[in-house]
Amino acid sequence: MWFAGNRGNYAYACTRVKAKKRFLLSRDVYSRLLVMDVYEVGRFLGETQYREEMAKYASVYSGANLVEVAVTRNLANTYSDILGFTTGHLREMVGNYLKRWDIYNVKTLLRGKMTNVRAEEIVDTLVPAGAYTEAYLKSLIQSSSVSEIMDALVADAALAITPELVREVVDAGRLAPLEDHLDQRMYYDLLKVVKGTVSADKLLRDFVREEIDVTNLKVLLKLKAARIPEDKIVKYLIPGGMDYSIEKLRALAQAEGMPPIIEELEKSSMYADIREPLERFKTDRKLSGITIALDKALIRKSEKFAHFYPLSVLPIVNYMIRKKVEVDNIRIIARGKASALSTTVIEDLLVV
Amino acid sequence: MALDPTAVGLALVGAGIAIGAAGIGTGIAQAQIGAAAVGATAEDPKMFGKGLTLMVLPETIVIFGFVVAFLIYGLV
Amino acid sequence: MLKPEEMTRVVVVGSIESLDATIECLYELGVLHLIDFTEQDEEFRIGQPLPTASDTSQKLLKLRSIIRSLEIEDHKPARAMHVHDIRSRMDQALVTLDLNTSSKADSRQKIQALVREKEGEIRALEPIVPFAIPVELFDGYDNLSSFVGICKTDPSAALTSKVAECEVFADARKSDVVVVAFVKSEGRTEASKILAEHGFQEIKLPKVKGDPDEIVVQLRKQIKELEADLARIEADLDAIRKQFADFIISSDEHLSIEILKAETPLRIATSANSFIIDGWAPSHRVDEIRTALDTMCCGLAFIETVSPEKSEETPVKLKNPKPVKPFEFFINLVSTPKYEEIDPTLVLFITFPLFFGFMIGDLGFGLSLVVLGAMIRWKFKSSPDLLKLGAIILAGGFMASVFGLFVFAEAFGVPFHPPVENPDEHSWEVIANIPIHPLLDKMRDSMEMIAISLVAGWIHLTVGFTFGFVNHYPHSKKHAVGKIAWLLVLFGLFAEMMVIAGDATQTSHFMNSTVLSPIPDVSADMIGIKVSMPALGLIVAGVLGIVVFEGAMALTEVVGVFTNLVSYARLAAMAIGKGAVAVAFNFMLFPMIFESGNIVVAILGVLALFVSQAFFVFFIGALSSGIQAIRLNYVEFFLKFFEGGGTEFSPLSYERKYSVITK
Repeated sequence: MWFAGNRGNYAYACTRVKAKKRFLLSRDVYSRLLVMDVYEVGRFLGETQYREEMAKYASVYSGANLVEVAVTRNLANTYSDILGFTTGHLREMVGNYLKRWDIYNVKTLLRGKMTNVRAEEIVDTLVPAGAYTEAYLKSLIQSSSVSEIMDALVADAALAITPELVREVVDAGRLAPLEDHLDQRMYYDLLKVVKGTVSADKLLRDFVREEIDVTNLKVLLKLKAARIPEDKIVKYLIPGGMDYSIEKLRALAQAEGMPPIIEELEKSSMYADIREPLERFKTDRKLSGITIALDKALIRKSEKFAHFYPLSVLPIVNYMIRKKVEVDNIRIIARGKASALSTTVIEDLLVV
Repeated sequence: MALDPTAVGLALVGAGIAIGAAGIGTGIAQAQIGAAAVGATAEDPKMFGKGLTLMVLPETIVIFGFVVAFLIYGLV
Repeated sequence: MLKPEEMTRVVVVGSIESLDATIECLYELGVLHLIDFTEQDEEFRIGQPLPTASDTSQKLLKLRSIIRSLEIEDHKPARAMHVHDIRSRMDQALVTLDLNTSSKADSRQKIQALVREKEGEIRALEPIVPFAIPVELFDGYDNLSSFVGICKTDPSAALTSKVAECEVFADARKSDVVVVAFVKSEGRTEASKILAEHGFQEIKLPKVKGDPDEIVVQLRKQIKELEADLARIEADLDAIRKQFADFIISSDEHLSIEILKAETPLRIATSANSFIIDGWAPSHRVDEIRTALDTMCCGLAFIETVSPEKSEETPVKLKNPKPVKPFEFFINLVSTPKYEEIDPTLVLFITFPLFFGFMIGDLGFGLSLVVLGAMIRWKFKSSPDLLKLGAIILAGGFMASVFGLFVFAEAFGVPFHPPVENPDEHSWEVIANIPIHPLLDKMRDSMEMIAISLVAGWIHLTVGFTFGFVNHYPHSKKHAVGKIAWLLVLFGLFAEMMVIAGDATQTSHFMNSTVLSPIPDVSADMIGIKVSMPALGLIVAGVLGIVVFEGAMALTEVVGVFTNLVSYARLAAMAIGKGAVAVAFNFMLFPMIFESGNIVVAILGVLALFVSQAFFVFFIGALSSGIQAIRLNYVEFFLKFFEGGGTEFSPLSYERKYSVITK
């Protein structure tokens, strides 16, 4: 539009995403999927939005593998689709939000390569939803050595990989420093593009920062429970959080045992959402309840934001989150069925 | 009515502007709605009817232009 | 008509052993609309899929991937296959197909990817062919950076002058420049800045060695060979298609039906030894279900009618006589009406062709539309939606012909007789003297046409508000009375418009002397406009009523009634506009055809006339008239009463097209 500059095609993109959102699986569908066996799940999904991918991969895979590969590819296709039909600044924001998948893919393929996983297996676990295409990632996997892959990655200025990090990976065989760098870089870039000048964008900025909080808290909980010392934990933390600065988190990491973190969580803005699992944790010491509740709280927040500004980047991000949750849920169901977990156990792991 | 030709000419130009400006206004309004409607229909063809309904809403503006133009036309 | 089919709330209960038989029986009947069971508790859970579901699902997954590999999604078997044959051939066929298709489809995909890759390499190499430098020499230097790419403008001069020690090769093409530059590493940033200013786009060269020209020739040869392979595979796949396509499509249909039944328990409440199916059925067919269950389930399952709870939504099956039915298409396009609501299909059946016909108003175009509608109905028998659309176009075309013949007396934009004011205008008199004279002339009676449009609008809106009254009456008397207040405002506004028009148009004269004659002729002049006191009184009374019954917020919509009424002027606008376009083309092109005296010019003129008439007047005209006619119904009319959002009646049933079963 001549009066909108190159802000982006909000009207088109948001209504389109809103229409997509109506096709997300409902709670009732999950309860039916839980009763089905894995082939029925696959066939059922083949009659929904996953039709194309199910038909495509059914000739190569079967059972739980088929479901997993098809839904992750569908996720990737859906994301590329969304990126494809957005323009202007909106596209820039969406693109940067999707960068996490590039990071995820790079991490996955390096990990796979370093532990000598078969190339096909690495390809199966990829989610080519970011800027790197499946073909490009495959060509990376086909490279003979880790150092060759690193050479290719260094060439991408957006990742800002220093020679030091390359040495860590290639010579010392340590991936962790690179992974931390990539995570931090991803959030840094994202926050750089999502400015607080438009109020809807500011909400997204806040949301991303809260996402950093949740990511940090989950890391802290897990590592603390595993009794990892503070100096190690700090390396995994991402700066830029909303309520929890690095200093605050460092203090929690230094403190003795779990109780200080639990106390901190009881004071947090998300307390209402995580109260129940927090109470349960005190007796059964199981973390999964808390982490799922934290994720749920984040999803709920994105849902709320999406309603504030229906013609903004928020409903689009909200949909992308919801779609990811759906795909995760389906994968949990498929994997759970394949390893003969009971329905109630699977049900508890779902984020509905 | 015996009007001087310049006045008649100006009145007719006014009629033209009435329709033209109304058309531009409708165009601006419909561009956004149309984009949204196409977006919804791309995902779900069932949205076609609703999209069409919403899309043609601003057209009444042109009709106003048309009626005004004809009232002017009738006067001269 | 106006009300959907009457539904009864039913419950089918039975012992768990009879679940299979009951499901089978209900699908056979196809009259029970199932309510999905969702609230699970300790005693009642959703049922387990029938044991066949897993195996059938596995087969279906395979079949559907084969369908995709063979690209036979749209294949339609010439005749239906017997279910017995499908069953006996299934296992064997699946093995054969699985072995042959997936591997072939796989290699096809791989070859296609290879071809694409090689084509990409050719695309990358072609620009550098003119330089005749071996490909491996383009990069891989320690302290030399190379740039290979395409610029919008030639950067050589800028590069050589600003960057120390650089070598630039440029090859100007039609609209851009291929650039190869070698730069000392120190000058790298400066060079890339300059290149960026010239719109540089990098070419990623493939990792090959040798003369680019030779490599391109080689690649072309390889692509040829690959394409030959592809053709062979395609021929193999074709053979498989010939042999199996019918079987695959028929089996897909049959297995889908099997699955439909096998997974129905997932929508049903079951306990350890019983099941409960909640649903709706058309009232006059409940007995049919009862008898069928008695005979097919040996008394282990039976049906009860119950009274529905308040919160429950009754599914809607529209009930209209055959000629009206196609117009349900327009209702489905928006939303299914609620069960309690009035079904407005009948009004659409009357108004759509009338509006459409009035806007087209041309015998020639009308008859063409009749033919078009008939052809759609004849050609697309299998698509229910297109069948309906065909009927709608047919009806619209018919009314357009009627208006064109008796009211406007014209065909293809040419009048039967020249108008009195302009006896030289082209007309059909040249060919035949049709004894019908126009009641309305599109170009000259515009005010009359606007007045007619307003009357149509007033009637249409009055029906709309009346429907609103009927819809609201059962649950909110207050809102129902509010609709009467709106009717008063509408009537006042309409009366006032007719008073202003006075005797200027025959329509307003007729209205004033008939429908509006009981209104006392008391009027005052305000700012030069004649204001009828009774009309003003009605409007004021209506507005007061609206405030009382619908709240002050509704006041903002009072202007909307005026807008709605004026909105119907589009009927006149479209008719005049279309008429004007047709006349303009005829005016420009007829002299070319009849008076030029040159046969070539005349033929060109006829062609131009045909294209302009066919495209601008007929196609665009019919499309926009259709949209406007439906818009007046959707926006102006529906918003007065229609809520929609009802549940469509979709009974347990299936349709076999490509498979048959005999008992």
